[in-house]
Amino acid sequence: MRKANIIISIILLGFTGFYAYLIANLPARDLPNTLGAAFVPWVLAGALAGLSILLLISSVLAKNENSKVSLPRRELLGIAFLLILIVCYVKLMSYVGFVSASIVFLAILTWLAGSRKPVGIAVFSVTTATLVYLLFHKFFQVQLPTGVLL
Amino acid sequence: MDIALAALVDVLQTENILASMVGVFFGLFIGATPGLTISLGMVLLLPLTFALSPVTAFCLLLGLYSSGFTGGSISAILLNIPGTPSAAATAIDGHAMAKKGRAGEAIGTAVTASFFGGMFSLVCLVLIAPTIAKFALRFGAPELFALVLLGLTLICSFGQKSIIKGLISGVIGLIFMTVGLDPMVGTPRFTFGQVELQAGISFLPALIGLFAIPQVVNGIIAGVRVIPTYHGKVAGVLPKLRNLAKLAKSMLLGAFIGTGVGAVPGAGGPIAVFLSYDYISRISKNKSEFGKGTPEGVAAPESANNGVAGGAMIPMLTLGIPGDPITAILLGALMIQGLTPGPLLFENNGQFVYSVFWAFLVANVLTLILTFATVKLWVRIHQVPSRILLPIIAILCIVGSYSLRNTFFDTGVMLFFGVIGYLMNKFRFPIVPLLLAIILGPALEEHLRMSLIISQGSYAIFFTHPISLTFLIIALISFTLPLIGPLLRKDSADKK
Repeated sequence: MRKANIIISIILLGFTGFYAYLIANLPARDLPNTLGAAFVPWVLAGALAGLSILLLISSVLAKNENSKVSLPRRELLGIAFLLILIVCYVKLMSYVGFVSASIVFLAILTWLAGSRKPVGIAVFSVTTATLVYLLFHKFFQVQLPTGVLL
Repeated sequence: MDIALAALVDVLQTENILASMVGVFFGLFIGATPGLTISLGMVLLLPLTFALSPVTAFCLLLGLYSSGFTGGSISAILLNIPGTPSAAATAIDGHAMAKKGRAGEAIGTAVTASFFGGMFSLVCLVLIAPTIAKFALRFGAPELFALVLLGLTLICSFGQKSIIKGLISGVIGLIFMTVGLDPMVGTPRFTFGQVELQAGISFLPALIGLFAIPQVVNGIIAGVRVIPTYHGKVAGVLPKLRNLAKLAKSMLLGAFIGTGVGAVPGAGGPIAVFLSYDYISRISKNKSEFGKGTPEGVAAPESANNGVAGGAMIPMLTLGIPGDPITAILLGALMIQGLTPGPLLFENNGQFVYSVFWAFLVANVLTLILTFATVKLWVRIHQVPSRILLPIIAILCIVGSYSLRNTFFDTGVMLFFGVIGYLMNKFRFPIVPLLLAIILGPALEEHLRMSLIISQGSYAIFFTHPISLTFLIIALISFTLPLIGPLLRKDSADKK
């Protein structure tokens, strides 16, 4: 955890630097007797820098702990795959419509979550996609994307 | 009185009772299913409330809030797996009772104590909240700024393992809320040319991302979780009156501690339940029975558990400062409905406030009735496999975030916060301060800048107003004490 905290505090300091750069480039449009748009962001940047330095110092001075942060490659790949899957699902939705895209998305996700029965996956995906569509579109009047299919 | 009666009539409308029942059923399901939290249930229901009236929306959400804690005790008692973190203390004696074949009695005690705790906290809410709101009506911009700052520092520091990480989490949340048009002069800040970012980051996709996405990711990566099945009998759930009379002291103590702790921002349910369990195990006549399966060890934490609900709503409704993550989401629900939490809510929307009180009462009564009526279902509900739950949660998150403005930009915001939430969990940064900063950030900046306009740029305004000065001093103590406290203790230990 100590090493992870040191890395995190350095990343946070880097982020603070980037944030400060953005604040410095904010357009100036101030009114008399009012604080500018950059005032609160500067205060927050200062606070984050101070706290990051405190975290860095306390982590450097801390004794080595047994607890470690585990961020295995498998997990990172899992997150990346899930994000890509969701982006593809959203893209697919605009071509084929909500229900059809959701059936494919749910089927992949159910398989990833451990189900291995094709019929079960198909029944579950079709039923869930239809029910979610009916609930949001018909009952709550949300305009869900429609494509060449439903 | 007329307002109270009108509010009661409103809450008793068919659609509102139906919404309460749906909320209670969903809450029992969420609570009884290990791995699903009440906060997750709330954020999944939140997008559905756009299309509902404020009263119906609150009937739904309060139904979930009230029953989620009760549902959490069922898996704690039967399987020794607390359905919610607050049910952890119930598992100690509740599971010991189940192992002795007294599962029905343990569940009956838990449900009745939960009802008692909920009702006790409701009475406190009704008696205390209007007085606080009346007092808070005197607050101007400096007092409101100091109050929001106090709420944030309490959440960032109280109950956090690392106060520095709690404060960093809060500051990052505030930084996210500086995105969008500046509230005073309309300067675009950190929008990177995106029109969607001009209105700022919507808190709903952020909430969904922070609470739900890490759960989906963890579930999929961990694979199918094998949850043991309870094979024993669950009989005699309805408690006997003479047994309940013996538990009166435990229930009252739990309700009192739960309501009190719940009203302190940042303290939360787990602290209340373990405090009440610890206290009742010390003052009980059957001290030796604790841990071996005594109903007193179930009644006190369960009563505290639901006592927290009403307690946490006191600062949320009266001051706009939530007591725990769940009330923070309720605060968000109020904002979605176009209502401003805080003292003005009592002044401008008095009937709605009474509707919230009645809705909480109805939710508690329905939880009691429906849990007893359907207990056999909840005993088996934990067997619903994660391969079914995870895809449903994922699709509800995506559609929920989309439905806010009918744009997938918000789905992107949800995913961004999902990754942030996942990394924060990994690096042990608390999520609640970030969540609260996202909700309270705009108000903090607005009150700060409004105060400085009033004072023509003088910061003395915060120190010359006694109420704001008091809040600022408490805020300063709240985050300096946990930092200095250990050093002082170490120093005195070294001297000894």
